[in-house]
Amino acid sequence: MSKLSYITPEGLRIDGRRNNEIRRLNMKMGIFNRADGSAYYEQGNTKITVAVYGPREVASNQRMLHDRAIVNCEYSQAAFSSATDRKPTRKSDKQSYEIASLIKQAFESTIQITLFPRSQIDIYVQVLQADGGLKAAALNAATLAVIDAGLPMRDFICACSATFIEGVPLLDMNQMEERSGGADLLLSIQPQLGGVISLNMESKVPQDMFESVLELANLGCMKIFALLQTEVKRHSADLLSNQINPKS
Amino acid sequence: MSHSNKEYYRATRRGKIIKVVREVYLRDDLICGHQKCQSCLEIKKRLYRTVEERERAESTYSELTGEGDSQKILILDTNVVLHQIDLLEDPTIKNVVILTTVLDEVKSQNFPIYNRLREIIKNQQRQFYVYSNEHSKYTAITRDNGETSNDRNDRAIRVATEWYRAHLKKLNVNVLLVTNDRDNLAKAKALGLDGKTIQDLVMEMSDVNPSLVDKLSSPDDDDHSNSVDAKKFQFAEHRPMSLLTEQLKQGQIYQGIIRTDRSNYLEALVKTDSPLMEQEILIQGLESMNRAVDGDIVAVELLPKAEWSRPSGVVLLDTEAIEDDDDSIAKDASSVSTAVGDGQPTGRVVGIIKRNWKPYCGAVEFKGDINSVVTNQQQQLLFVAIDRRIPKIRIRSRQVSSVVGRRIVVAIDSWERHSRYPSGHFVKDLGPLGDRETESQVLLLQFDIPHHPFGASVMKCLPPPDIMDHVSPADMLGRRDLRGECIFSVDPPGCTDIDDALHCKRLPDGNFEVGVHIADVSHFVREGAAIDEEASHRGTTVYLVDRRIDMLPGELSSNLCSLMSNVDRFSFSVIWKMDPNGNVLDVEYTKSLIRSVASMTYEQAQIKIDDASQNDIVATNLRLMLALSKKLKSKRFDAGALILASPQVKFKTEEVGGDPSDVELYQMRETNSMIEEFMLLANIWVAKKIHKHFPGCALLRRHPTPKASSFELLSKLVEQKGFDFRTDTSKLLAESLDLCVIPDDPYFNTLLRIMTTRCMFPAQYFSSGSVPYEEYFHYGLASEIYTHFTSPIRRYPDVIVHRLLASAIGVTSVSLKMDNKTGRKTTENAYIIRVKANAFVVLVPRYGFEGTVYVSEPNQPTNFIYDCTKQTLSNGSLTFRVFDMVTVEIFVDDSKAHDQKLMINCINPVLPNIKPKYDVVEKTTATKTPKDEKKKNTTNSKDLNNRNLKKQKL
Ligand SMILES: [Zn+2]
Repeated sequence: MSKLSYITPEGLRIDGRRNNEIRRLNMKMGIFNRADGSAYYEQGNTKITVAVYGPREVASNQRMLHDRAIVNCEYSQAAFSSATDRKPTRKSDKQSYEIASLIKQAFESTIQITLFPRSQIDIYVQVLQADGGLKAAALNAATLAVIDAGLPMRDFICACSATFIEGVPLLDMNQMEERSGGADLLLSIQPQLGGVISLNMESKVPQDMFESVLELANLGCMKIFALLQTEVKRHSADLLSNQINPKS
Repeated sequence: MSHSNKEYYRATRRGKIIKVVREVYLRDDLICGHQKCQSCLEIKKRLYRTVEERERAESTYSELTGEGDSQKILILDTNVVLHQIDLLEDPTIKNVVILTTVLDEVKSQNFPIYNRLREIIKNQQRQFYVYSNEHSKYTAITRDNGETSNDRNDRAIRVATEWYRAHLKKLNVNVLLVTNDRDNLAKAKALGLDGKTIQDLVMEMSDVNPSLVDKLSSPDDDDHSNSVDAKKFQFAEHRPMSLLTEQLKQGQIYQGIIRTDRSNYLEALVKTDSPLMEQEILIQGLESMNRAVDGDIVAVELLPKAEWSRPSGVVLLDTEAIEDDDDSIAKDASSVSTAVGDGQPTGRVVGIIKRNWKPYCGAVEFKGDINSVVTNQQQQLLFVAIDRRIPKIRIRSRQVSSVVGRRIVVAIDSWERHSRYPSGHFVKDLGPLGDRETESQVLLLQFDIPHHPFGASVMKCLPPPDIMDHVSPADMLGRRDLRGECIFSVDPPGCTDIDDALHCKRLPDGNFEVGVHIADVSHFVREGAAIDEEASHRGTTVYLVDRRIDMLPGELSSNLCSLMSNVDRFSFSVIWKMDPNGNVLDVEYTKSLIRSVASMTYEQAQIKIDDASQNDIVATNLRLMLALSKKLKSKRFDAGALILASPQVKFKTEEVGGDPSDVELYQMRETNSMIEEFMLLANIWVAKKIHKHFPGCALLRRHPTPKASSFELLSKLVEQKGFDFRTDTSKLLAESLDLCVIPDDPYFNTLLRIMTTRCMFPAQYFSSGSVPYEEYFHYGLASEIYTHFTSPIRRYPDVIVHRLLASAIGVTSVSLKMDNKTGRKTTENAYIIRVKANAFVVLVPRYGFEGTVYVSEPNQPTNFIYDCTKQTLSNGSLTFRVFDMVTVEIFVDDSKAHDQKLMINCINPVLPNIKPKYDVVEKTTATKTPKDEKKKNTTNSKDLNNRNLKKQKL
């Protein structure tokens, strides 16, 4: 049997991308009317919706903070989202919790929560279809929804994954590539402030390779940032034109 | 870039059907690979901003150059590649486009051919260009309803050909589809494409290059001369694969690799992996062997027990024993001994699971007058391989006169039922028979020694030749400047690849400092670079009578790495502080910069030592070293080291590179053993160091202690000669060997040592994690631990050891590849926290995770009694209760690299009637910290001993 190879000597990955290309992005802000902010986000075949509520009153007084708002995140994956395991397993529970706390921490540090003491902000992330890069996609989607909610933010949050397979750094893996057992690095940054929000890696990588993977992930974040920014601008222009000549 | 989804259905292991959706991106920026194509140049300009970037990208593939009327660009279909790979390897075939459709099909059908094709593509001179047609917006197609995947692939190839024709129209390039499929050819012609069969193409080219025709493989068209034999000669038909699989499953037949006897080509043995058949199965006679060739994986059916036989023990001296033109099998049977009844399992080949045909070196048989042969008419010839286990091969040639009397390489194409011999085709001419040059080539080919010149990509890895003239501060990072030390090297005469140099000096406190400096090859050969891959492929430098086949290009092996005198060289040093008795007081490992003061031969060094009038610093130091080395040597022999021997001779040549004129035995001097002693010491100390830092993945070398039984025959023979031969321990063996001396026959002792060596297992490389510590032992050297560190220029394992040592002392980081997980097991105490009907759940406090230990095989009735109310699981005296402590073994099952699982296995108490069954626990990625991981690693070596004991208990 021949071994599966993730990148050909000609430099194309299984799905036809080159090593430094992200997947096709498709997004739309403001998809739910009832939520304060919402977004639909597609990165390749990974499809995610996010709804944001708040700032609103804290549901239970115990958790209330007097100097800032608390951020909650709930992350769930639709039962039909992945091809293989239809039943939610203990493993996916654990993963959901991990992603939720990642999003919560990221937005606590980026939304200006001190402006809303004694209140809470809720972020609901729902994965409709899973094809790798869930953490990064969830963070990017949440950024759009939080912006749509009009919450003051220090900067965007842009996230992208990268790995190191067969001696080549690869950007934005799909599910198949994620299973290669490569480095699986996740970088999330504040692109304009230049800050790093989080940096996770699942396995060991030689130090000299690490830098090239990190650099690639950063490049991916910046590409995503440009696309998110376009969507935000387009959406704002839409809102503006609706206000000038309301249709109904 | 456009985008689509590829959808298909796939059955899971449990038989569930699921829909798989994969994203596919179709690109518009794939270039056609033609040198002069303007539109693709625009694309390249877009893709690579700077000229340097573009040039770098261009150097990774070869460009097509075909242009004008005479030149054409060939597009091959899959079968052409699969059947005609030898032809494609001929350098006159150029300007070929390989489509990814073809590449993928070849890869899935025949991986070795895929590798050969990749080699051709890599060679820039060959102008084979890979076009990723499956990912191009212009040429990607999807399978139509009702279309078979073969038809779809043929269509994909036609679509790509059409695109190429349109794309290169401006350049007036003739694009030719090469296929032997008539249907495909017709369809291509209907589209207005130019198509040809490979035969037609080669015939056209044969005006310029007539030898091409011989390389054509002809599997399908029938050989008419054979039809005459058909009546009198027939092999049994091979059973179809489906039947074989079925019968294998039911245990009616056995599968194994067939090994033909070296001295009798009519006899073979098949070693099966089947637990039911521990003995090797004997196959006797041509008919039973049924067209199986040495190395093939075959299916064997046993004969009735009454027909079982014994190996005949006959040495068939000459293949002439059977007349070539006599195709009867009757004669074979007569040469087979007929000791029946109490023989070993005997069988016959009923099918071939997998062929293992390779190109074979040999010559053609030709009787008669060469001059009478009509040139340019195709003739049948019989080819005899040098390897006697290989049957004669029928080949056809147009140029008999240019094949006869030459060493040639031939590949087998097929072996028909009615043919006594397989048929094959000519691959390559090596040169005249008996020529030294030619026979060297044959040796290299036979032992699969890669000896082609280094490729361009390898040469590109070489540093500039003057790099040592201006050493940069970056190169000196973590490197000690030892140019002040009096360092010299001692080697055989004519040695240009100097691996090692030494120094020695008396310290003020009466102790000695001794340094061994080894060429710093890993500084120039970076892991993963083309040069590294080539070196690891070659593995070692091969020395032939008149030349050496270098592992590394000459620029490195004979210059930049070679520790020559009076030039600055990088090295990797081991420096000891020793007392006058040769006890090591302290050791230091460092990368260094040295400048050797003298490169001497063993003879020169010996003279310097012996000549009392020479009192310069080199002579004094040499004497010091010799004294120390004698101390070291006697210590080693006290520990039981053996002097083993292998026949070593030296060829005397009249001139450099000339034919050898005489053979003499290699002369050993004191200085030889002095150098050897320090090399051994360096290897041992480096082994200790890398094992300490990488208990799980250090590359070490061991020499297993031989079994007492392996010496039985030899000691009987030696005792007949009147000597006492004790083999109980290596020390006794060494002493007996020393005593076995016949004064009149000085060679007897050496001969005995050679024969003793033959009784032992060969020494082997291993990864420290794969074997318990007590088995690290090197029997021959009587050393607890050993590795190879001192010859990185000519031995690849040393390069790996250099890298390990470099990371052990913190100069470089260790690579991912080194992270060998084999044998990483750890034993821990665990508590039972829940009991179930056929299993119990344990908690391992040390790592804080839970796992299930089964007491029976899945879906099998258990012989444990489960008490639900008391929560116990018992079997006679053995009872598992909640809160009981058990000992478990934990390890990672990395059989599937992408899906690693942690397995748990109870080892104390021992579970009865069950093979240890492993449970799957999730890898605790969420909670695992790097610290945990580290802890796990370090416990391993400790637990290794433990583990082995426990295993034996099991
Ligand atoms: Zn072009």
